[in-house]
Amino acid sequence: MAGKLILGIETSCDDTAAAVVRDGKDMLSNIVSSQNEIHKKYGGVVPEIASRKHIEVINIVIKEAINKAGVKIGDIDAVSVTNRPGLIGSLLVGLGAAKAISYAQGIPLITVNHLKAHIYSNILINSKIKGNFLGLIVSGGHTSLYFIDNNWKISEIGHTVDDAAGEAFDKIARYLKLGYPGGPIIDKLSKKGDPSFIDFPRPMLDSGDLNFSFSGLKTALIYKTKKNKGLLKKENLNDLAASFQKAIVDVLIEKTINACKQYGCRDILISGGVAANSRLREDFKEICKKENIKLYAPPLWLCMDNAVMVACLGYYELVSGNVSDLSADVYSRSDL
Amino acid sequence: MYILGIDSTTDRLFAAVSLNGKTMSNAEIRDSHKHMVSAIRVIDSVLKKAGIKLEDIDVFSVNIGPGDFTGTRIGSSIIKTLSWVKGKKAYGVSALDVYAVGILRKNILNIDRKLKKGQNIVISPLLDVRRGEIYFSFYKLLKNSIAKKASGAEDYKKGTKICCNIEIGGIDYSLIKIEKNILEKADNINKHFLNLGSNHFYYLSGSAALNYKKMLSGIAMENKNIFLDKNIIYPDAECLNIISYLKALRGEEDKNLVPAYIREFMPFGGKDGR
Repeated sequence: MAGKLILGIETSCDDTAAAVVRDGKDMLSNIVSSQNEIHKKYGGVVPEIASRKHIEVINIVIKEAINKAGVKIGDIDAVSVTNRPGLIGSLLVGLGAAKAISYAQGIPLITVNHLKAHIYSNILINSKIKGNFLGLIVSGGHTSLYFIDNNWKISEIGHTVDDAAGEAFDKIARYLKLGYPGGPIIDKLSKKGDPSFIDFPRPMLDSGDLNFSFSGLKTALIYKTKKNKGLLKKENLNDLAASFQKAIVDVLIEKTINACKQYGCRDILISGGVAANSRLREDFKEICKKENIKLYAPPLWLCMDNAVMVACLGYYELVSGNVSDLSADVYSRSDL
Repeated sequence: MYILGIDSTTDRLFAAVSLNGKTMSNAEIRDSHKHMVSAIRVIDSVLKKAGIKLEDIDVFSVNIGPGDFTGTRIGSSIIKTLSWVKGKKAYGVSALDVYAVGILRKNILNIDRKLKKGQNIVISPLLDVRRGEIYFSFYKLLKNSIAKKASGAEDYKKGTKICCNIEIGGIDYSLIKIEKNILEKADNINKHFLNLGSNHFYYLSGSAALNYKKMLSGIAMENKNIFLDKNIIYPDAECLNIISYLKALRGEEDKNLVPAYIREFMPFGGKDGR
């Protein structure tokens, strides 16, 4: 079979994922085993439980990815795995499996950065995407801005100083007893709500840098609803959700647009679980049109954690000669 | 039959290759929990020392705990993936079984003397599993022929409770598990040794033997037929392979390898997130 077949493995948080991608662009399979149902009752990901689930299903998921791709394990040219950043116990399960495959098959092991993979995954959707663009990765674990130069060198130019945006959604959904994961639930309620119902603060807009902070916004909602219990009435819930969501979306968009102008970019890419938020997508689309900026918003499945992006980045690392050795470790935090 | 086994359930990493139940090569790495970094290098080294290739391995073997959560998962993830890629069986072995075989092998001379005096030998590995609790079980050393019968009609064919066969003083013995695993408050553990027959001699060891030394020494002092070995606290891959060899001979099924945990994990003290 022509082309390089890369097996991707992703276990950095609560999704066990594997995929086969050819030459960093043709997706042959994409398997994701979600643990949402398990973590639901805790209102967030419990790391030890996530690790326990990963080890149960890791081989099943990898086998399925190989089968669905219509290839054999012997056809795989390299194995690419997320080893940073993420939950240590979860990352270790994926890296263990990846090392075993690399060692047993005598094929290269590539350890990749989860956030860099989110950025590279856009090549799968738009192969014409060139360098010199602005990236916003926003999820339950991350909220960061990146500048990608003409050579695809990625620099972090801003990040959250406390909660990630998705984390704020989860925490507020838990506080309002709405369920888990919070983002999609709040998104759904907000569609029927009035975003101007409460004027929440837009934190860090005047901070002078490109960092975010969502912890105070969360506290503001809790404070307001404790002071005025009537806000928690069922008939206000949609409006409350819409107002909270709007505050987060406004900050994310304004900071990203500012960064875009500051770095002289004409393209913006958004990814991560919160990039699936419908309000964020609509508002981004509108403002980008007005500002004459091209917006790359990948389909939802690619915004969420997946192994396709890991296999995609793995290909580019492989052709650049960035191969790991079998003593590679995992890291909870990491620079690109 | 070549077996490759790794044990990553403690702060040390062990690996061994055996041929028909006899150890060909082994390794112990004191890498204090950095097992992900060392694992493949250690596996490669025991294969090279044994003069074989990964392709020659017939059965893979791993200690599935209970043990250090993260370490145990590293071993399980690597071994089950190796076995899948190579299309060979992988056995997960209980940590208590591994310790029991270890205690037997370490005290073999002493046990030989006790057997010659007509005493019955019982081995009890004791694991310190935190929260003031000890996880343990009992294993009896029986003449091979008796062990097969004692393992029950159901198990006679499979003999799944037999951990290892060993020749002591020219006689074939089997180490057979005689109790279910017990989780007990350390303070209450002595009640399990109260109804000891005078004809039994007990060998106790394991991580709890070290961490509850004073309390267990007290029990051993009161009962002349208890020996507390405070030294052996590490399982090892040689014992693991001995057990897996028997499993392979019996033709045991290999299941999806999952670590053994003593307790269900309960965040927020068992309450839900709200």
